[in-house]
Amino acid sequence: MTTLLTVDSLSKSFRGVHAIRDASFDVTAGKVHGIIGPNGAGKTTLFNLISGLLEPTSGTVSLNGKDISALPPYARTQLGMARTFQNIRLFSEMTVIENVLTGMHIQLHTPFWRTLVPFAGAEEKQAKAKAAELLELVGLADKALTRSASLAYGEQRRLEIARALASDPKILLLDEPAAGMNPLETQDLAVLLKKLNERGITLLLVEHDMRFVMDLCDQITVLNFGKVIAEGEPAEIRSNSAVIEAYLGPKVAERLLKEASA
Amino acid sequence: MAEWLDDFFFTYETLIHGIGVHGLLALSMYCVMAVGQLSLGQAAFMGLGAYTGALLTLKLGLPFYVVLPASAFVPALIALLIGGPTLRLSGVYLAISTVGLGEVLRVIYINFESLTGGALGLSGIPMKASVSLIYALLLIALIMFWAVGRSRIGRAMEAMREDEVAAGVMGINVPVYKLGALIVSAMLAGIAGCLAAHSSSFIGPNEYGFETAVTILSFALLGGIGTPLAPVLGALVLTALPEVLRPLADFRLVINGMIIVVAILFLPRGVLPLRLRRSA
Repeated sequence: MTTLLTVDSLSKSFRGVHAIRDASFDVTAGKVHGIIGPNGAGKTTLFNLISGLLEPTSGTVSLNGKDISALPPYARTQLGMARTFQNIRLFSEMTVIENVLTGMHIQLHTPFWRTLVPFAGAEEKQAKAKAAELLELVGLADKALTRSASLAYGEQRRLEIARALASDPKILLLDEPAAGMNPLETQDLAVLLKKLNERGITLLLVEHDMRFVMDLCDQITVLNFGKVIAEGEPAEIRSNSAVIEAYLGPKVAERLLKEASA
Repeated sequence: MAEWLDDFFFTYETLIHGIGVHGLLALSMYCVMAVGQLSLGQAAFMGLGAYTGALLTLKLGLPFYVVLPASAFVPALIALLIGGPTLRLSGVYLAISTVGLGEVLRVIYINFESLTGGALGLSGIPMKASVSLIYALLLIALIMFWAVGRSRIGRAMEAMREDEVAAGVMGINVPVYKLGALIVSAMLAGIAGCLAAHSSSFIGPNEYGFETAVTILSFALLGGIGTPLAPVLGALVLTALPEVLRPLADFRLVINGMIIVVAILFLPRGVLPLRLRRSA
């Protein structure tokens, strides 16, 4: 049970708004870790802090024991972190396979001068083969040459996952991967994520769909108003009074807990 | 036949030189815009190349094959120096700060009279830039942009142009790419400036100001930036247009301006809106 990602007393304020307050938790290697919380709890802010799009006001983020708090996003990717976005951010003019190849950027090293010689080298060929494999994995093999903007919504989400996987990450951050998907698509997504986890990729995901989270995650961290209010396995979280209160308000929480103990 | 060609060539020599030089400038603009940046400093880099080239030829009498690389090197050095602080800016802010560079240089050219000839500029520059040299360089630059554009580097550049944040998350070293693009664009503009100086025999401090910067930008706006050929086509159209419209006499600038406005309104992605194809 080695810790892959450590978030230590992380805080972020935007002027007066404390979006994240003193959040700490560990993500164990090889696990699926979920972050849940009501709207505005700070989940996306937390993700942006972990992936380097935002700088924390205080606290640290470490990957494999190395403090990465000051590193720009591209350097974190080089250390084995990849992410998807809540509001899909594909390179929409590019074809589907070009998006995946862009995700492979850190693995490609063809020097500048070599690109001047016509007929791409072996590296580009290998990259294309690997990209095709990833598209196969997410079920987009037949769309490789389609312009990515013309994909259906669920397909765009899966392409984002394939693009993130292209960098061979140790940990994959998924920001609301099931958002806007129908139940069937959500099911397929859960199957895909389980498959990735079996391949040894640690997953950290933010999600609203409770069934999806409870079903998939080994460990859950609950945020409310930027604070970690609970942490544990799905079963513990489901019966945690603070969590129920955060979602449903104190009155309902009290009633539910009474019913449960009766 | 040959006589007819000679005649044509003699009449339009300036124009033919101009199109080639502007093509190089358009590529220099393309290089910056290809990574999603907007610079109005290309005229300033061109001026640096022109003055460097002219001075090395006139004062030191160096051969052209030394002068030309030197006039690429000096703007590249300046791009490296200003790149650090300015590339943190984006959008119009970068554009405005690069306008500043042009103005600073203009004042230096005017006041450093002993070296630059002040407001009178430098004249008597030998005509060393032949048409074949200009077009050979343009062709080489085009092919290089095309080849690089098809590679992983071109892919990274296009990714930055589309979504800089996502490109960074993909592991693309965004600041390094931006700086690299600015330096290459400065080299190209410097070469274009040097060629222009050695094909018109005169350069002055006011040739590389804001107006020229906007003209260079309009090459890329009119042509588009989907492929490297597009801005060169834009340069061709915008350089040849005033000549084609010559019969309209005083109205030609009005028509010229109208064509640009109409093109930008109705062809927002340029007259050549294609995208660079990568075999995949």
